[in-house]
This record gives sequence, C-alpha cells and structure tokens, in this order.
Amino acid sequence: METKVETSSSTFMIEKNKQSLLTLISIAFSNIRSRINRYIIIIIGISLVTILVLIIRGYSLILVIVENFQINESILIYNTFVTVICLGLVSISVISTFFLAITERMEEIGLYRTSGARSLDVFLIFEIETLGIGLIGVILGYIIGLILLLVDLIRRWGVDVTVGFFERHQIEVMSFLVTNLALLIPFILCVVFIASIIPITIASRMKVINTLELRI
Amino acid sequence: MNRLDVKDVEKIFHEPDGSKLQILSNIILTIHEKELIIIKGPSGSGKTTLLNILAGLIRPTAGSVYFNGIDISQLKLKQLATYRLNHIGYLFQHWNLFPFLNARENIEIPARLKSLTHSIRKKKVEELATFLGISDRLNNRPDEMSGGQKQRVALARALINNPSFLLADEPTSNVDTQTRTNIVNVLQEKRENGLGLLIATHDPFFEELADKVYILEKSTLKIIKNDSINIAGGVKS
Repeated sequence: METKVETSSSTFMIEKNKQSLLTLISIAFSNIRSRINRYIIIIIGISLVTILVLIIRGYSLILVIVENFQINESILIYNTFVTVICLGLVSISVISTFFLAITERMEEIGLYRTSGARSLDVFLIFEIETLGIGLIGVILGYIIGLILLLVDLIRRWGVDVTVGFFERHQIEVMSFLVTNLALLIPFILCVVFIASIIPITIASRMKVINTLELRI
Repeated sequence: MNRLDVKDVEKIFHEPDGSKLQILSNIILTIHEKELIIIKGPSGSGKTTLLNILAGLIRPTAGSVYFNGIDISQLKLKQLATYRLNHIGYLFQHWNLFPFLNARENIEIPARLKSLTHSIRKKKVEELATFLGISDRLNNRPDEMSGGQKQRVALARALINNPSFLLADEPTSNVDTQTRTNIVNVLQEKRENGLGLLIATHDPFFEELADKVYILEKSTLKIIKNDSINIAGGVKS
C-alpha cells in the first residue's frame, strides 16, 4: 500500500508497511524464549491456579458420579469463591510482573520504535508475549493437574478400579477434559489480557525519546 | 536520487524550572545519497538532537525536514515509523542492543518488522556478519561480546533493511583501531552503493573521507570543509 504526498513540485511516495500478525507473533515468541527464566514465576503461578481449579472440578465430578452426590448451592458458592480468589492472585501477579518488566524494558520499546515499529506493533508484540506466557502456564497446569488427579485416583482405588471407572464413564470423562480445557484457556487468557493491558498500553504509547533517554 | 533537506530547523527544550533551552537554531543542511557528512561539536551542542530530528524521533520546534520532498515533520506517527523502517538506519553511540536476544536476533529485528522471509533474513544477516567480521558471534548475547563486536552488531542492525540514509552517533568512539577500520570500510562500501551518511563524530578517519564537515556550536551549524562537486551529476567520493 502506498500513500501519495503532494508537494509543490512533484508527487512523492512513502510506502506503508503493515507488519503481519505472524511477524509480530514470531518476535513475541523469540522474546518469550530468550526471557523464559524471567517469566518462570508467573508461569508457575498460572499453572498452580489451573491445577487448583482442575482438581476442585475433578473431585466434584467424581463425587457426583461415584457417590451420587448432589452439588448444592453452598458448594457452588465455595467453588466460585476459590476460583475468583485464584484468578485475583493471577491478575495481581501479572500486573506487578508486567509493571516491573515494562520499566526494565523501556529501552527495548524505544529500540523497536526506532527500528520502524508502530506503537500498535509494540503493543501487539508485548500483548502476544503475555498471552503466550498465559497459554504456556495454563497448558502446563492442565497437564500436571490431570496427572495429579489420575495419580490420586490410582492411589485411592488401585489401577483396575480406576481403569474400570474410565471405561464406564467415558462420555463424562471426555466431556470433563474438553469443557475444562475450553473454559480454562479463554478464562485465564482473558484475566492475563485484562491485567496486562494497562502497563503495556502506557509503555507502547511513550515517546521514543523518553524510552531511550538519548542525550542532547 | 534520495535526499534529506533540513530547512531552518530550530529546537527548544523546556526545562523543568520553566526556562527555555535553545539547542538548534536556523539549521540548514542537505544530504544526498552517496554523500558523507560529518558533524562535529562539543558535548551537549545538539548533535544527537539533530540526528533525532532527522530520524523523526523528535519534532523540531520550527522549520522542516524533507525526505525526497516530503516534510517528515508533518507526518503522522505511523508514517514516521514507516519512514524509519524503510529509509533510516540509526546507529547509537552506546549500541543499545536488545539484552536478551543474541546477535542474530538483534540484527534481524528491523528485517522482521519489514516482514522479510526467514530465508532472506538469514541470507542478509550472514552477509552483513561476514562483511563486519562477526560471523562467529551470531549466537552470543550482548553481555558475551566486546564493545567493538556490539558496535558491529548494532551497525549490521542499522544496515539490514538497506536504508537510504544512515545516521550514526559517534560510531567509532568506543572501539579499537581494527574495528574502527572495519566499520569505516563497510560504511565506505555501502556509500558507494548509494547510502547517504550523516555522522556525528570527532574521528579524523571520517573527516578525511567526508564530503562536508560541519561544526555545531552555540546552536548553529557552520561548514568547515566542502569537497562535494556537482551534486546533480554525482558526488565526489
């Protein structure tokens, strides 16, 4: 795409570059790879929340199936309360980590801008990076949570009973696996997105000159 | 023919105490492709400010900067980003590399922002790295490199998108003689291929090669050497 700029003598052109989303994703994932040790705490935090939510929901399902347990209002309120607290903790840790990370990365933001990135590109690079971390955390937590649930069931019931349970309740188990994955990923990504949007917006809109602290 | 024209540029900074600090006053300057222009001047005289205005990083208080006739002082932020991406290479005095990325990833950033394919990027990075003698350092991070190597990585990053103009702030101030020779040779070759250079430096090496040498003092620019002949028909190199 090109923009024509009329001058008194002739017409000149400045080409417009639209960075593809794929380019920005690849930059964001390079950043995650190179800074993984900085993000490890936040990944562990998100994983723990995912594990907790998964275990609570897993045992609720087992109680319903095995003991014909009726989930009443107080248990629902308790489950919701625990989930909200967990997500609140994730939000606080994401906000604080990102405020710190952004302050530390001001120069980096200036370098992107000097290299030709628009503020929207910088915003997207950082937001994709955050969502990527959220995704890694939630998937890791999901896998670990399922393994923990399985190990605990085998410990309680033995291998044969556990296998028999899964064979008898294939539909419920599959539905549990799919619905929890489909709920947890967008839910945690939303929390991470909302928590990170303020620091990233502030940083991406800063004047290049202020981020680089170039002297006179 | 690419050209940058600085017309009556003035820059005033507002100090926190409310006073005004005039950094640049009535600056007039033209840079053509293949031209090497040196700006000298004491520390704090406004050399970096002038480079920042030419790169579109800050706007002048008065006056205009034209790139091929387009007034970049009037461009929107998005257009300025495109101008920098396609036409300007900026070399900082203190390298300013991405600390967590290795040399290859650092050099690649502008090419990635330009959405060049992986194979083209790889080819360009390797060409520049060989040219600058840093092929063996491509997998190292900045904290594993010497000052000279960091400066060459920063130069490769500034050159990867084949800019029309390179703006360099003291490019050889923190490097040894061998690296300096290497940097000067690379810039000379790029210049022969059409790159216009505006360098803020006190390095006599560059002064000898320069078409024009200016001194920035008391916020005004004075020419002290002019070797250019017949700009329209080509520049003396």
